[in-house]
Amino acid sequence: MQMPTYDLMMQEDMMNNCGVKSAIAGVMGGALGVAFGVFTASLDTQGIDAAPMGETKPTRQVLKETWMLMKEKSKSYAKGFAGMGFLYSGTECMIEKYRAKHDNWNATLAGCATGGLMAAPGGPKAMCFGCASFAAFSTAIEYFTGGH
Amino acid sequence: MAMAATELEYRVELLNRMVASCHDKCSAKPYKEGVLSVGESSCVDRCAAKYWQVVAIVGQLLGSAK
Repeated sequence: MQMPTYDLMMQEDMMNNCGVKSAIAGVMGGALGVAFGVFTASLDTQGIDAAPMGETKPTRQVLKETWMLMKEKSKSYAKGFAGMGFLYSGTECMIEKYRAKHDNWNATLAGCATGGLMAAPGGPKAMCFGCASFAAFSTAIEYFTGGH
Repeated sequence: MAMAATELEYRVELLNRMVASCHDKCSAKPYKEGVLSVGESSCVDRCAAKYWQVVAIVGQLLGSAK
């Protein structure tokens, strides 16, 4: 084992920065949202390839409409997932920095904050429910993916 | 010259004790990964700062008690 070099320490410092972490999580959430949107659009085509009896819709038109549906769904899912990833990663990093401890409670608190913030348009009851459900979900994920 | 050597030994001892104490208090056991997480590195920052502050205060007290 060696002492960490200056480069390594700078790299670690950059990774431990909450802004950088949330930006990376947001980008990855966006990518996941795009993949999800493409997948969902191909599952539920919303009648794009339907046609009146006896005719077939021209392939080019079907492809174009499918592409528009995929774009729409990708955009909406990407926005949702990117926002969620950004919020969750940012709050978890800030909470962990403040508590100066590394355990599973960071995931619970960050999940509650994220769920509550994302359900804010629905009113206080929706916020409570969102907080509880997302906190439970993220605690479970943290526990089962090599948590503490 | 002997004073400088003793001073250096004391400094090294101080550093070793600080490292041991902060490592004891701050790393989450059991070790799950080989890198300090955000919380642990913030804990180490705070621990080192407090340790230095305590060393400074105790040194001042010792110096003024002569």
